[in-house]
Amino acid sequence: MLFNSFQYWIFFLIVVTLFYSVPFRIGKLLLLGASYVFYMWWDPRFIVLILTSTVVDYFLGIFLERAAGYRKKLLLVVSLVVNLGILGFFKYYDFFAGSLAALLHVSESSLVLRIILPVGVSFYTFASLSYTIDVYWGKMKAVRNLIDYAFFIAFFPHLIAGPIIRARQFISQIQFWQRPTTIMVQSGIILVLSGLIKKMVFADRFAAVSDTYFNHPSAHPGWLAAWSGCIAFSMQVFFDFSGYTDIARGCAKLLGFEFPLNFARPLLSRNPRDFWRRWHMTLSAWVRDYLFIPLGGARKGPLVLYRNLMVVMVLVGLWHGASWTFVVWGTYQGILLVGYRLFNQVTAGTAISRLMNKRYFEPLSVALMFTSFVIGMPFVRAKTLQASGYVLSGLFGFQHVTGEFLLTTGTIVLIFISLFLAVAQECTQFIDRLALQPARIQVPAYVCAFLALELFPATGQVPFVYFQF
Amino acid sequence: MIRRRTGDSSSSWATLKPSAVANLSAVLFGIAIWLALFLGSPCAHGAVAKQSGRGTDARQTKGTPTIAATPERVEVTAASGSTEIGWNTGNGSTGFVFVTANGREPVLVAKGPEGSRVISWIRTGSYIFELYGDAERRALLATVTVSGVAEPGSPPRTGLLHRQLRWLLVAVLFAVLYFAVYLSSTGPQRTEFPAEPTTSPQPLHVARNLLLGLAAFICVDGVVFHTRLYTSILAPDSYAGRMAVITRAEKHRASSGLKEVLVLGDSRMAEGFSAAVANELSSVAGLKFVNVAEPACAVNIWHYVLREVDPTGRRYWAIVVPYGIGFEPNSADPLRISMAAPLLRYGDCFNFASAFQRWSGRFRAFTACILRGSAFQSDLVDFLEHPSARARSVQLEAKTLHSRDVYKGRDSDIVGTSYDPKTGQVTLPPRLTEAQREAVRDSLVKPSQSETQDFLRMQRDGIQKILKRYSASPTAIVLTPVPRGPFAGLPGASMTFHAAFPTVPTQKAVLSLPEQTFDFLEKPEYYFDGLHLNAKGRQGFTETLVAQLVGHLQSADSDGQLHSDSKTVAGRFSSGIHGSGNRSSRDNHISNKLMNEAN
Repeated sequence: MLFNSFQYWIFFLIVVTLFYSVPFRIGKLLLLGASYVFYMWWDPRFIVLILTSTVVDYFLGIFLERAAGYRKKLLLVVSLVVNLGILGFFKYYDFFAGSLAALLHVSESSLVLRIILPVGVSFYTFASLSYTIDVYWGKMKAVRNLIDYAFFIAFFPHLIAGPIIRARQFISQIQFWQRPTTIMVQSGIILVLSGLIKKMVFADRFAAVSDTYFNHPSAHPGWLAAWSGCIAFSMQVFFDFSGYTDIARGCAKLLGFEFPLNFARPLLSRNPRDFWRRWHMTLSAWVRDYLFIPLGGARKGPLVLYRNLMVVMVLVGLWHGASWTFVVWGTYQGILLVGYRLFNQVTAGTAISRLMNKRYFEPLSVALMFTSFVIGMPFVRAKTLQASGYVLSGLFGFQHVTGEFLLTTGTIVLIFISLFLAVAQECTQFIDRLALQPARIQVPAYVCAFLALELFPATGQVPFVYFQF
Repeated sequence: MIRRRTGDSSSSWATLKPSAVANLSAVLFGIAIWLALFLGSPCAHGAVAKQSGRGTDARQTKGTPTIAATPERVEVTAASGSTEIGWNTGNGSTGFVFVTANGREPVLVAKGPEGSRVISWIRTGSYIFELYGDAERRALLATVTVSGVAEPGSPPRTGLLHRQLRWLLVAVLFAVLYFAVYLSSTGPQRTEFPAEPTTSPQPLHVARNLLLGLAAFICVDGVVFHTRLYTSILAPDSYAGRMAVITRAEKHRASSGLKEVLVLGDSRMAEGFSAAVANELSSVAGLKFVNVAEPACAVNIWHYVLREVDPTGRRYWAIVVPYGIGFEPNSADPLRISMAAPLLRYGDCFNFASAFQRWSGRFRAFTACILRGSAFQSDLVDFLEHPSARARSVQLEAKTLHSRDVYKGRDSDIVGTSYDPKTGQVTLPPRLTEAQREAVRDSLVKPSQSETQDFLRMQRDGIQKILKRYSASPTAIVLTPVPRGPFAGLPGASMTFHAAFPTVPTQKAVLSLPEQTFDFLEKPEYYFDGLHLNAKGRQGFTETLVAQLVGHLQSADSDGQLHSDSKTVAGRFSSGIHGSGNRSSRDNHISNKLMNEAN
């Protein structure tokens, strides 16, 4: 049941209608049931995993709160083992087994189990982990109501692809739920429409170009084709994930819940550090709070900082997918972050630093950051390191041919439109403020949104990219 | 200048690696210039064609799959240009040729171990033809890119000016982008990003504004797509565009003063019936034939065609309705919806939607009636991408109609093709093109029982709608069989197309031609593929149909039979799905059996 399917909106309409026609204590159960139905739509077997994770962490949370000293640590370890065990087995077993088989030169089939990846496992595992760790650190009290906890884990708008919500932000919303305000409903509708446009009009059109290239890169040699494919995929992955998040946040608002912001115009980032503040913000914040800072963060000198950055980014890469390509992508992102810090250190107080801090240099910084982002895309989209290497060689002109320009007029126009919209949003927050505008502005905006969805969606239903993570 | 920069590209990247600091701005400008160069540069296309050409000119060795296009650079004259795609899987296995046109969804255009096909619909833009080893597009074997370029009708100076203008446009766009990002600068780097507002200073009217937006949206769609505003600029070579052009021309055609006979149908009637020949033959009888049959125009669209061209229901002396025609797979639903869209009205939503078997088709059909723009998505994108080419092709609308009038049919035949109904073995002579082979094979695929039932239901409902519309009209409705295929006469032959006629209760007397009328045309010499009559078959079919019609209509007219009461054309032809061996009733004239079922 994809967010961009007719099926989902029928489901959502039924759920909303039923939810508001009963008291919240029943409505909560109804939403929980609907969330499980939503999850089981893909594969009913994996409901067992969510239930296991939920029940285990619920009780561990209570025990953690009561325990102290060594016993408390042990309980946390149990939580980590269970959650990371589920994630590790279902997501990474085949990857590590396959790599081991290759290393030992034994048949892959003897070790690999061909496990199906349960959708959303990376997202709900992180949500669940954040809860037990917060209780362990004493940052929040253990939840005493199993339904509330299960609701936090399984609430369907964030279940499959985030944003990664924290228990300490969300549990209170369940406990003190109030009917959404008018402005919340208004914002919810705008977010849903914006998400659908991002997905169906932008992402899926870029997907047609990136699929043409990445399905068979060797059929499209040359740097022009490689840049076309990588730029198209960069745009696709942003609009796809950002669109999904908007719809998720919009649906949550319509049900009276708030999800945190997950994207803030990341393609306008000026440098790698800025990029990770704007891209998948809930994941960045999660790894910062639960990984980077516990590792020492920036407190123990530059070398430890660089090590921490590399470790965190490699793990972020691995979180995105069980493949060496994602490990390399994570490493690349780590190198960018470390390189940027080193660069800043070396050039501090010099003319270069002054130049780069000038306002007129900012558009060039944005262009450079975007280019760096695009260069990393072969590792995200290509299936193997070999294929990534081939695309990379194309990007840097090592194939010694020009190649085909795969971007169509339509996709080029979309790139420019998206850049202008991003700039306008960055300056004026015009999309967010649309909820406050009078009818003479809102009505034409609705008309434009409906027309875009009617006339310009790409043909065929393309699944969301982040489902595979 | 462009080529020099292209050549320098790898070196500029090489300089990035050793000292990124010193070359930051240079690299950035390099990237901008790269993008700028190839966003608008026609040279890029030239380079593409050159490169592709090297690849496809390579000599084929045994076992090496190849695909080639001749030419790869197509000059698009008027609305479209053509190229010939040739392919060979190299090992005798079946290959699948897909085309990705201007970044859209890949579409299968041909299949077979080897062959060639003329692609006559190349327009400006890039077409990537890919040869796959499987229909799921998993194993790519070879690829070739065809570039459609605008006709070089303008003198070189104009071309140069165009190029310079494109450059200027790209430069301006980048300058605007630069300043937009420059102006968006918020000073120090942001660490806080405000989300949506949580309070409003004034009361909000969410439902009212949303409903107003929805209503305004439906109005805008209505004004643009339910009027002639957009349908007049539909691509004339698209299915929807052709339907719009043909119905519009017929609607506005002045009366000939003769007894006018309208012929409906799909590609088999479009290829098989010649209005020009029919008019010559029937001039003595004072008849004028008009053929509005169009490829892919299924039976559930004919009612809407008639409503458009004959609003009063009294314009024609007779309307020829073919039956036992056109099994269409469900996958063709979007095409049929798009084709019917120019003719649909708001009130058709339930009726039109109910003609589709699948819920997805019904939903799409329903939406197309309310929001007609949704049926023109591809057309609109194409228009926005190539507005000048569209303007030129729309101006040539009259030419499209003229070429239709003077069309004489195709000369080729499939003589030498043999088919054994028992074993299903088909032998094809080597001279046939791959398209012909494929069409012959496809025509011999027997539809499933449920597909047949669905098709018969659609046919019954479609014909019934027409009969109902003309129940109180003096217009004669003529039901005619159509030659089923080159091997339909063989005992036990399974045909995709058949002559089974469904039970149709009607309040109107109809004239139906004998089912075996065209049996003599069911031979390979009268066909250019597995379904469509060639020029010779077209002549034979038209002559016979006209002779039968003139005879029957005149006798029926004099007998007054056409104005009798409630009738039925009910199961007079037994199921002929499995060929001619199964036919039972062969009554030749109007069925006079009264049907008590009133509509």
